[in-house]
Amino acid sequence: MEIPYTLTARPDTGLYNGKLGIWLFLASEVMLFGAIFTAYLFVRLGAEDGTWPDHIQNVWLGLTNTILLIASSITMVWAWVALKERKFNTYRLALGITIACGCLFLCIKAKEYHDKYVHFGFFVKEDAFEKYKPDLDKMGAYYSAVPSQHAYEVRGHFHGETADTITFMPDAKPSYLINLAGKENAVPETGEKAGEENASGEEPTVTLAMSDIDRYGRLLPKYGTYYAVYFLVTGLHAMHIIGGVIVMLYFLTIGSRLYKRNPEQLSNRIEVTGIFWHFVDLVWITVFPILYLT
Amino acid sequence: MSADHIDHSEEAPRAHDQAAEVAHAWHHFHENVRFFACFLGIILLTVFAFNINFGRWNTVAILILAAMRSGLIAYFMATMFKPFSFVTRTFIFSAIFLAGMIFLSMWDSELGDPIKDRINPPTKSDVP
Repeated sequence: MEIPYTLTARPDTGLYNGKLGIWLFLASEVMLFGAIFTAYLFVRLGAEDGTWPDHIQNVWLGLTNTILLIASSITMVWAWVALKERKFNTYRLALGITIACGCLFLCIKAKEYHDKYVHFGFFVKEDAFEKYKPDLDKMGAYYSAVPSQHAYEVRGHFHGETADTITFMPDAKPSYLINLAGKENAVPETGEKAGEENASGEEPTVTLAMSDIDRYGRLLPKYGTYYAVYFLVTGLHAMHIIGGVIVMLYFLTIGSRLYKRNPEQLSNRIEVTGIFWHFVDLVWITVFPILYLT
Repeated sequence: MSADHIDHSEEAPRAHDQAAEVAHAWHHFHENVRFFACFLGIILLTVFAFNINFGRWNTVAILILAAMRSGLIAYFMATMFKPFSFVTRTFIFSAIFLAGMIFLSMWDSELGDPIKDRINPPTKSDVP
């Protein structure tokens, strides 16, 4: 028996089976991501002063990923239009570009995860911080007060440690493009700058005494709530990207055989995949500002 | 009536339907391109604004940009399922479920209990 409404819309819902399925799935996805964003909101609002990090993400990598996903959404619709026009080669080209964008997104995401893994954060005790402040200021290093924990947080790349000390290259202070408030945020023009090599080719480092450090660690979920949220949300999103790429790879290879038998059914399947891909794109457009622009 | 003649008479409306579908697909494509161009624009504007210190207007700038982004996402979603009342209803119920979940989360959080606070407003001694 032939399954009804695989090609044509069912009169009462106005949708064919595949589209009905994907919309129901997306409704559940809205609840899943909605719940996570709600949890984020509560965690963010409940965070103590100074514990929520700022300028921790590489905004340009995040922006590149955003552009990639937006471009891939357009090529996804292009693939669908090509199928409607019965231009199989154009369809394969458009779907191939979409897959490439998805893979590139995942590569950049992997680089970001790796950067977090090799990056360290240090909570220096408040009373001991004055010892290091002049050096950090001279280097234009970024640090922030965490009043609730009576500490200052400094982040950077780990260089080495002994039983009593730990050495790292601190992150540079972010410089604003335009400062409408008139406050001084620019990196000092003199001295060795944090995050850059000096004239002799050595990276400026700071050595902290272990006794002055309250705690330190890699920028992974256990380091702080923000990182837990970051890895949860972006990890879940990346899993959706992987799922989408696998489905598209299927339709580019084995699944494309359907074109010879029933091109309209293949175009329906690509439309359904496209709806999912648009959703994943919209989630990223929501995630990017809340996790990267902090 | 020959078989050839019958085939041609059936193909004519089918070809017309196909042409209409292709035209609809291209219209959909251009609509999507416009939306995604807007998304890109608003994201670039957000990143640019992120690099500007507006001082005491920071919150206002954030809220305006967030409202623009959410409005655009909601509008895009609405255009995606505007012909499908069934989907619209499904999403409305998802939103109701989500709103209920947020309400219950607030109830069970330290940020404030919406029921208890209304019936029995917190006194000074409750505030740490």
